[in-house]
Amino acid sequence: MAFPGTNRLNRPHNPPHDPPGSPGRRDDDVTRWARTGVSGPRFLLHALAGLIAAAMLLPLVYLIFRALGVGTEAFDLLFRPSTARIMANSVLLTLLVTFFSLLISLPLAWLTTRTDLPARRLWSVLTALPLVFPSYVGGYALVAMMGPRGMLQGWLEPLGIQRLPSIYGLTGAVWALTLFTYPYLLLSIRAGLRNMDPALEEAARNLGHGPWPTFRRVTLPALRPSMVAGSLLVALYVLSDFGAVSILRFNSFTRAIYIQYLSSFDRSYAALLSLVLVAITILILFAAQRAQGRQRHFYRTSVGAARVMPMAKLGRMKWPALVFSGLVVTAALILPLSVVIYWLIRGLMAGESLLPAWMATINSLRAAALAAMAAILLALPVSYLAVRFPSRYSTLVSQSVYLAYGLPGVVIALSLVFFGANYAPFLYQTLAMLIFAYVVRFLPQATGNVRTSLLQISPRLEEAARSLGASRSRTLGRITLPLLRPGILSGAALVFLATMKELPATLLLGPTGFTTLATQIWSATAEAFFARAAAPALILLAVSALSIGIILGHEEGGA
Amino acid sequence: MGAQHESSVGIRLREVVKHFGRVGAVNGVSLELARGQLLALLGPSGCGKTTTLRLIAGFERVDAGTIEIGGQVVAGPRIHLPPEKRRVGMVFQEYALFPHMTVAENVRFGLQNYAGDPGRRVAEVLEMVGMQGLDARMPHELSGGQQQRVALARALAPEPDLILLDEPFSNLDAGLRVRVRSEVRAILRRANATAIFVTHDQEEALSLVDQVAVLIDGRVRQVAPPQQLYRQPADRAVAEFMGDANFTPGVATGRRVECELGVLETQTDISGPVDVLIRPENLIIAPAGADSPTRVRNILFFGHDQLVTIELPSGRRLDARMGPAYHYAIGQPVQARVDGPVMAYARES
Repeated sequence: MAFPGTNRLNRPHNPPHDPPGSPGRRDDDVTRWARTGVSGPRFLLHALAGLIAAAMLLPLVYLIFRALGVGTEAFDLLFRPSTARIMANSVLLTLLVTFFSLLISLPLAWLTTRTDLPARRLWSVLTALPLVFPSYVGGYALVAMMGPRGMLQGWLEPLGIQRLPSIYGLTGAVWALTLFTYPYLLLSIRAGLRNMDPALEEAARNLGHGPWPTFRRVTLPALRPSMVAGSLLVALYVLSDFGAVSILRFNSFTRAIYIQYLSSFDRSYAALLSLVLVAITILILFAAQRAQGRQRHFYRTSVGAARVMPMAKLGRMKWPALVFSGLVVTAALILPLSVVIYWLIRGLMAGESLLPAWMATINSLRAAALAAMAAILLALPVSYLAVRFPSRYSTLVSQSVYLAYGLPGVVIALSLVFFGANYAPFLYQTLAMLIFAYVVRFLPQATGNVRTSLLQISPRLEEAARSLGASRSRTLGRITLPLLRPGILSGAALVFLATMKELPATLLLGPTGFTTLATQIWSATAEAFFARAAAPALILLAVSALSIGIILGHEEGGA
Repeated sequence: MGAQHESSVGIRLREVVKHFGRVGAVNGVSLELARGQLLALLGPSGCGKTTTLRLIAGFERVDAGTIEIGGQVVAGPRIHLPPEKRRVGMVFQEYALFPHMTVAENVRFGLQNYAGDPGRRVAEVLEMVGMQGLDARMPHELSGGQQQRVALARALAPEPDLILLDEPFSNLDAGLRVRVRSEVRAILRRANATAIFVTHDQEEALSLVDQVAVLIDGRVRQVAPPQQLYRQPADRAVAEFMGDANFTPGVATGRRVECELGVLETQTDISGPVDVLIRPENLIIAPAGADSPTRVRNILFFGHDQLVTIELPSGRRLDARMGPAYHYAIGQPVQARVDGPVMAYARES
């Protein structure tokens, strides 16, 4: 492919004397190319990014196609009583978890940022830590503690108690999801409190309001955007979560879809349910984005120098505050962790082999490494296009890549199962297909990091290299890529860690006999082999802690 | 200046046009600069100066017109020589030093096809800019002025035909700026470089270069040596952009113009209704008796000089610049006269 312009220098050329229209059509085309500035490499980049975007859209597009194929029967299926029940279950679960999360997070956020709570810094770390529990690990810990054949029952049996109240269903799901997702809301409110202009509260006090009216009439309204944004985050998580609801056997959308897929001969119903879930998810995503946009408005009231926030003196209220924080940390962190360790020790003493855990770890590592590499390779052209050649087209490409981020994992997996079984049987249940599913799910994490890094590299640096005689490829190899390394590394790390934790796609798309840490925990819990799930759970907790460390580190660095 | 020989032309722009969408950033710029000369491209922000520079460097494609560097056409219809083939060095406003390379590696980056010994060349240019001994430093370990000099050394190292400097001093604080500016000029002179500066700072342009091109709304309004540019601006817009300007209406015949300040000599032949340009330093005032209708209306005292606003009988206000020793009071009656021949511009009806 020729670069328009460059190869023409050798020709005799005399522009001012060319009568208009004398060059052939070919030349006219080249002129137009030169004018619009589209050159060979640039065209290639646009095409490549477009292809990637199309691939990322495949699961959603195929799902819609598949659901449309159902025809008029769709209405009968959709208005079935069972659909209404699933919908009600999901909505109820989402509302309850969000409500309880708010109830926990608001006081905790205030206590850990704006008061003289003893050991405040320690509490602020401890209360955010439950984030390290992938929902199915949390669900596993709960079942292994309170469920039939669980820890508690094992202890109570000698006392003659044969049955505990069931942990399965709504109660368990709300309990597990609340304790392991409230930190999203907590972090959001904390950010809101930190970014709030202290002058607002001082002004209220100065205008004659006491501490409580000031909190109610100034602080709380100023926090509303971050509460809304955080709540939406929690709601989104609950709605798309597969691990906890499936382990705790609560029939919300994701579990219903999975069961339909497993048991029913006709998979159209599963496709329809998926589409409804996608629609609800997109609605919430949309709301979240708007809330976040408004949030920014609220924060930047003053650009003045940051001041130290005034700290409230708790006085005698210190004790109930400590008890409350202690209870939350015990329930969400210490108990589940102890349960996992208890089962690990019990398993080891009973001679449980660590070999399956070892094999699962190897599988997880291999899949995660492949997914991370693939994601970075695809993230580079997409991010470069978005940052260096912003246009309506590049925005569309970026949005297509981000869209999959909002899709529940079980939906992506199911769509790819259908697609693979019907159109690509040679790929179906291969590692390649699984890696593709991972990339669809986690590419946005890679593009996010690469993009941020790229934004920090001034285009002037690339231009400087060109003006010093470096070709496009030398500029890429010597300037752009070396400077991009931090973004590439952290993007790869995030995809790697997210893949390690992934459950639904692995469950649905993994090659036969391909167990990872996540699927091992899931199936062992389902069969009440709690000891077998303990080692993988601990490994995953470590992985999860690492990835959250990276994310929080980024946020600190970026602020 | 005198006539230039064809071979001594460093760069020539002919009717260069560049549009972004429907916005014309550069609307037919023509320029010519002799080898070894320094030119400032001066204009208000958004006038197209930086775009012109980027067109010369090859970062943007021209929509029409041609650019010649050292006799070779590098841009024109159906021609776009990529930046790396143009032999044009560039010093960026934010310096654009490669942050992952040392000072020496930065300078050496452009020497991959250098005929001589690259190591020696690096040492040579670093010494030229007074940065010898700092070659192992990383860019973030340098002060703003030092980064500036490394950027210049890096641009000079491959011995380009032309050096472009985009607002090179705007990131330096005021005290440093004056010093670095004269250093940079000395370095460019020593290297016998042909250079184009882009700046919006008139003082910078006037004190630094051989030729100044004033760019307003994407067009070159005037190209002239600094003195001539200040004393004989081509039109009102240039006069207003270059320094402080008073205008007063008058009627001109040949070399004379009659206005409220009397009959003045003009620098050029002109007839009809005109606007007369009076620089504040050419408006001379002196105390007068109480019967003089001209009064002092405002005084701005700056220290090294002061600006006294007077009001003529017609109500027109003019500024006069003078040394700090004179003492006037607001309301004081004065008389005013104009020193030297003036410029007059035909009034637009």
